[in-house]
Amino acid sequence: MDAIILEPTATTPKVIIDPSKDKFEISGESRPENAAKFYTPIIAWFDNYKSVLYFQKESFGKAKSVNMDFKLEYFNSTSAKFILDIFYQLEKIKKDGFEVEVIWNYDARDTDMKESGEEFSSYVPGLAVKYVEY
Amino acid sequence: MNPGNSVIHEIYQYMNDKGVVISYLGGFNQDVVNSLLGSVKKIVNESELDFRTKKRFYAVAAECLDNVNRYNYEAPGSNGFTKTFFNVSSDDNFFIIQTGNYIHKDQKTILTEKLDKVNSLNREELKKFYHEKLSESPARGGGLGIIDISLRTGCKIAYDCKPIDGDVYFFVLLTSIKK
Repeated sequence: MDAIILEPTATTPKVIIDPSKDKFEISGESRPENAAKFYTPIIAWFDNYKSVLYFQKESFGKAKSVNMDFKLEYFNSTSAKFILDIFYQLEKIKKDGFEVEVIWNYDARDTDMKESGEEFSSYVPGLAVKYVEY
Repeated sequence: MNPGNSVIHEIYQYMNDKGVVISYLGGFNQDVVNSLLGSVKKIVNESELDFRTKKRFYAVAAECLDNVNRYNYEAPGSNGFTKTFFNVSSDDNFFIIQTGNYIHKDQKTILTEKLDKVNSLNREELKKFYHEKLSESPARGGGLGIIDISLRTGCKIAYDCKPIDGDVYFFVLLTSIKK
């Protein structure tokens, strides 16, 4: 599957979704003018990635794990809905028996951002979320 | 026109006395939002607020501007209902963010219902309400912004709707962040 690599802009975060490099990361500021347009391809990507993982499992006996890093400085409330959708996609992958971990990186001074991670996590209790201060 | 007769100095003094730190009146689009938030970020970073309050201030300003964007009424043709007002002022205890823009009657009903609902809830209820709203599909900005502002400021959101002409109202939203 093609990677998604998006450089950050004033309104959109940096996105690296590149399984060939084991890199899954969304970082920076997220307040896109059209959040649906920005996030829908990312959410669809994870939906499609399941078939790749199934193929790996059948062919090699084991599929690669997904370690998804969030390192957000700010996201607006519209983005929150889509970030939650990414959590849901990751939960589906996990429920299908694949290894998934979310790493929620936050500035040590920004306890609100940590709480946001906990809020997302509360919808997907089966998904492991690791909180990492930076 | 003689600049000596201009009211600019009076306006300047009035705004300065009111503690204005940024004020904008004009057309509204994403470039304007980005520019205003750039200024907000600079003010916040130069302030002596603690880190978390800085982040909250920025977030609230961003949500207020998103809110204008969502409900802004731009009448077809040019009848003057096009400009938007954004103002940040400061006093000893608070930063105050105000927006002013025209809204249509239908939007007024939706918006004021959300504001009244959010203002009626205590913090725990507000968190619960946020939790419910966040998981609602389809993913659109269904009122989360207003809840977000209230949670981050810890204050009720003040607003006013002034009837202007037929179905058009001038909507003012005021929110404050404790220093």
